[in-house]
Amino acid sequence: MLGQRHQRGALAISGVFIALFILTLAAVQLERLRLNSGGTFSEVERTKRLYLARGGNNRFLAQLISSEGENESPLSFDREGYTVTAGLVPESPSPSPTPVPGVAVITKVQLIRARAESEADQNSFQEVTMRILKTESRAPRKFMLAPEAETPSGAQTTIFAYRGKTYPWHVLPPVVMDGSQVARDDVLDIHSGPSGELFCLVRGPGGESLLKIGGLESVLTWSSWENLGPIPSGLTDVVSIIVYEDEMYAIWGPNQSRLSRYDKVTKKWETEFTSADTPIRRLIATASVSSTGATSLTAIVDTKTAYRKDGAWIPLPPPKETNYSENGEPFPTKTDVELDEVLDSALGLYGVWTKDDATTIYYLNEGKWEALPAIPDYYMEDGELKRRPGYAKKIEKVVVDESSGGVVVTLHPPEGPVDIPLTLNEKFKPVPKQYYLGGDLKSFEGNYLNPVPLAVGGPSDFVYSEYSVTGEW
Amino acid sequence: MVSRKRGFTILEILFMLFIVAVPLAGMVATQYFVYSAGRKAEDRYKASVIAASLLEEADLESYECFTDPLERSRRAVPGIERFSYEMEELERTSNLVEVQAKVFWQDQQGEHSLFLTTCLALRPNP
Repeated sequence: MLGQRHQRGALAISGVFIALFILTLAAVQLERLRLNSGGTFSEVERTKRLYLARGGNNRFLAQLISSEGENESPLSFDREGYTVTAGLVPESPSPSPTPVPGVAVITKVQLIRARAESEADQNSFQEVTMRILKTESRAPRKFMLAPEAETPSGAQTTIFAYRGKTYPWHVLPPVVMDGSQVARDDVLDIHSGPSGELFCLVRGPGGESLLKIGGLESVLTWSSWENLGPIPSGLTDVVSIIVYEDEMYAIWGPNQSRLSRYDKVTKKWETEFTSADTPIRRLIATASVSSTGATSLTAIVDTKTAYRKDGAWIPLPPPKETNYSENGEPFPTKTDVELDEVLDSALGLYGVWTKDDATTIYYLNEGKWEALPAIPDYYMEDGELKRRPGYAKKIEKVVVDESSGGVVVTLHPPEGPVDIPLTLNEKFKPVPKQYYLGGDLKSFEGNYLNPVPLAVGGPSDFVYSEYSVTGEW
Repeated sequence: MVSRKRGFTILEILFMLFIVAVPLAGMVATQYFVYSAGRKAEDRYKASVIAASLLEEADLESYECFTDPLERSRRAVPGIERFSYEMEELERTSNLVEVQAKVFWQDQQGEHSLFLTTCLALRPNP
């Protein structure tokens, strides 16, 4: 009887053990589910916070950029149950100006940090630190003009200033003389002076007058046009006036063939030179960005001649390097070379110099020719641009690409002609469609298709700031 | 004297089966619940990965992508069934755009969604 009871009990106990085992398995499953779901939920929330924090850093960086580094106040905003704060890290590395080969100087290395935390639980947060460099560049100023073809009649002269690739185009104040806005038809010429200022030659009731705006300071601070007064009498058909080293130079005459300087002592215009019947196309005043501080005044006459003022006007000296070695480096030559063509890009001056069959393209920098890099030996095959080892020997044609300030060369390999853009300056952002009308600045959606680059000078002392991200996330 | 070995009575067996069947039924229900909840969590995680990759892609192409305002339209996520996405521009300044990646997915309970928001710097085309 005792044995039978044990057997029965064993069955019940076995059943209970099996039941407990099953319950334990279920409990383990539920616990695993809780952990997995909780982990997934946390991971998703963490991802949300991470992207909000990254967004906070970008927002703070945008604030720095739009204020040119002036507004360093921390910012805070709420999104989807999270609070995001962003600002400078107090222990950011101290400024250590470091020149970057080329044009820029690193003036600041900063850390910015953003934090996204849950409004319900402040212990749930995510922080992201971003390292940024502030560089200041000295580069030629660039201006664009709203094209007449894309603005209605009655719209006034609207000039956009380029402030670096991280900034939008800045609209300069309207051209105003004696309190009234100058009609577009009365603006005869706009170009840059040696310090980056802009001169505007306008036609008024009493003759031509010269207006000036700006200088070395940021274009953001340019507030109004200053009337330098009427152009002294004695000239006819003035097309361009520039002030260089406190003296006024004018291109004038029925054929734009005369260059004169106004002598303040005798109060007369003195002829600098006359270019027979060939129009003088442009005067370029540049200020050096190098430590020498040298300035230069260059006159471009027709397509093959350029003169530089060095006491007297002398033809621009030929470059000392006229060809490229097999590895693409320019090398000096003593043989005579000829200036084949001057390309008068509004954003710079290019010279095409030839010797026998060799063609070399130069950029005029601070009154001297600087060779552009050798052009690789490109050719087209099946609609694709391909490259052979070595460099192009024959250049068919060189034209200015106004949208970039660079030039486009046409090579002539055996496979057929191919156009290669040589971009010396970066491509610009599109110019927003804005113009002055009735004294107000009107903004429209979209961009100008063909903004007109203004005839500006060479390198100036214009300084602009750029931020770049060197490490994040 | 021969010992008479007895088996289990029907009652005993039924009792044991009852003891085992109740937790077994619970176990089956738990399995279904775990599977269903696990799948939900997996879908949600998948949605967050999709949304994150959409924002990364937008960040890489931030200038070209956002030269023009985003065109809002829901599209299927390529290669992943049941999931679709939409990008919405919440705010735009001259050098910044705030975007939201919205991912939607369907299951037996209906449609679910997950949103990720960030601000992207409008960088120039390198």
